[in-house]
Amino acid sequence: MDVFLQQLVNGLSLGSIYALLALGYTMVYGIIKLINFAHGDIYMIGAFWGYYIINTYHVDFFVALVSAMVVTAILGMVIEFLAYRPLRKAPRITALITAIGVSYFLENGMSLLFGANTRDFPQIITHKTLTFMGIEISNIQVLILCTSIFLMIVLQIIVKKTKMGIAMRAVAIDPDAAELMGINSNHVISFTFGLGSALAGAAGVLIGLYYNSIDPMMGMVPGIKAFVAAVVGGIGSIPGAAIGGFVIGTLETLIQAVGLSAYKDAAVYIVLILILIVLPTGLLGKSAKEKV
Amino acid sequence: MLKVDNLTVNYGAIEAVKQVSFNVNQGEIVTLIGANGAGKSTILKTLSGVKKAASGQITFLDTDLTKLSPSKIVQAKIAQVPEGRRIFAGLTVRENLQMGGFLESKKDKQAQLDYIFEEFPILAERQGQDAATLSGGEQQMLAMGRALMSQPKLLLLDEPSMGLSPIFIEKTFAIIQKLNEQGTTILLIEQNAKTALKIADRGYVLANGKIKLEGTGEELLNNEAVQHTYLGMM
Ligand SMILES: Nc1ncnc2c1ncn2[C@@H]1O[C@H](COP(=O)(O)OP(=O)(O)OP(=O)(O)O)[C@@H](O)[C@H]1O
Ligand SMILES: [Mg+2]
Repeated sequence: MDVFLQQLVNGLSLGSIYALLALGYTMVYGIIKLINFAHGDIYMIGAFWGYYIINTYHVDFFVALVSAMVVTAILGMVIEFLAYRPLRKAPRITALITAIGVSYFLENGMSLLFGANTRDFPQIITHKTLTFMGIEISNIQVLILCTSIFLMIVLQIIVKKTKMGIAMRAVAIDPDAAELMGINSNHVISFTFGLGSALAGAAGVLIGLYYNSIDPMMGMVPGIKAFVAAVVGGIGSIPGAAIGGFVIGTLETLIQAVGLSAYKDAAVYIVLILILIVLPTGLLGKSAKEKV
Repeated sequence: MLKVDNLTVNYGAIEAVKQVSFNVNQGEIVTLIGANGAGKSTILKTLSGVKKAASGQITFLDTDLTKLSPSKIVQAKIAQVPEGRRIFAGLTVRENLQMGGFLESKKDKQAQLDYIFEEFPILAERQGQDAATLSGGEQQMLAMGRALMSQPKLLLLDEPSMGLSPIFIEKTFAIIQKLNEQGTTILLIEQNAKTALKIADRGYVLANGKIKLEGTGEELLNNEAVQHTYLGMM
């Protein structure tokens, strides 16, 4: 039982990182129906930014996190502007292939500039382990969980309460009608990329602290898993992405805990396939017929 | 107030609107009637800037609209209630209205919201409800309220009576007249030609992308060709 609870705690920390990433996938998909394959690489850039700014300026966790979010938000908006906006009217597959291209560009560009080797993420927070009812929780896990949940709450407030947040949903529902209201869909799409990328950047810094090591390819697998999380939650649904992230993270650690480490990635894909068969719209996704 | 000159609009190789000219004076209700596919909605889309003109001019209060973005046109105080209403299903009634006032200042938006809630009490009652759960007639009220949030000088209405019961049709036309009396100029598209011509100062008959006839509401109501083709009289 203790082992189970222990793995649940580990799973939730990892899951919160997947959740942060999944939110970006789902928001971008919701608004322009693009699976942004470069999203995992934004997370990698977030981690590298954290690495750079901590090592160079010896900033604390908070500054590293916030600055990484700003940098990745800008990067996300620039990528949208340069790579995806010119393809707005092109067939969807064109943008999808472009996203894969952007992903390769970021991964190989970073390898070329900074080397493909793995490096140690500076540990700005001294590890402490708290024991609680027989379960060990590190202060880093607590930090990851609290930061992620805080960011998700902020996101929820932005989406539900602010003018841009409501406009995001309006453009996702009916871009033509939104245009008639005077809403510039390009601004809204750019805002969406900024928001999603900022969350990915935060996730990158958090994973650096958690796993201690970063490299230019680090975004690939978590990117795919976060995408699976978004699909499991119901792509396009924000709460769905958060739940999907936690589900995938927990599943992965539990599979590891029962000694099936070698199959942890396979398990994630099995869940994807099962969901697509049983519940194609995901846990919280809208069924197609609701959309008139 | 609005002057359209030789407007041509294409969808690829299809010429949907051909050399159309008409005008709307301040304070008028002008109606455009015509059969399905005549090009009515296309004209409104072009006025709102969501469809680009192939050639011709659209002048609104001395500004050429053909080069302006939709948001600039809303800023110029033209709002549209699109065909099929197109309310944002999934947003609340209040959020729908807020989107209608997207470009307004906070203060104007609040004032306009108060005004709309007063004019359409049903919207005030349902403000927290998902707009998709409104009835067709209520959705039409919402679509009009949403367009009014930007305080338009010219309101474009694309078949507001579509799919409504006779009572709601009457209500909708009464609201249009009231808005007009309060100073909003109206360009109304209708299939329901008889009712539209009754409340209109002037009207234009559109067929196959061209203006076929024009006149006052009454002239068109009494015109034999109009009666025959659009009013179902023999
Ligand atoms: N997106 C489009 N692509 C291609 N052709 C279009 C498109 N929209 C409209 N058309 C064509 O343009 C012509 C005019 O269409 P429009 O929608 O303006 O007609 P309408 O007068 O509003 O008709 P209705 O009364 O049925 O609404 C039609 O022949 C239509 O098939
Ligand atoms: Mg039409």
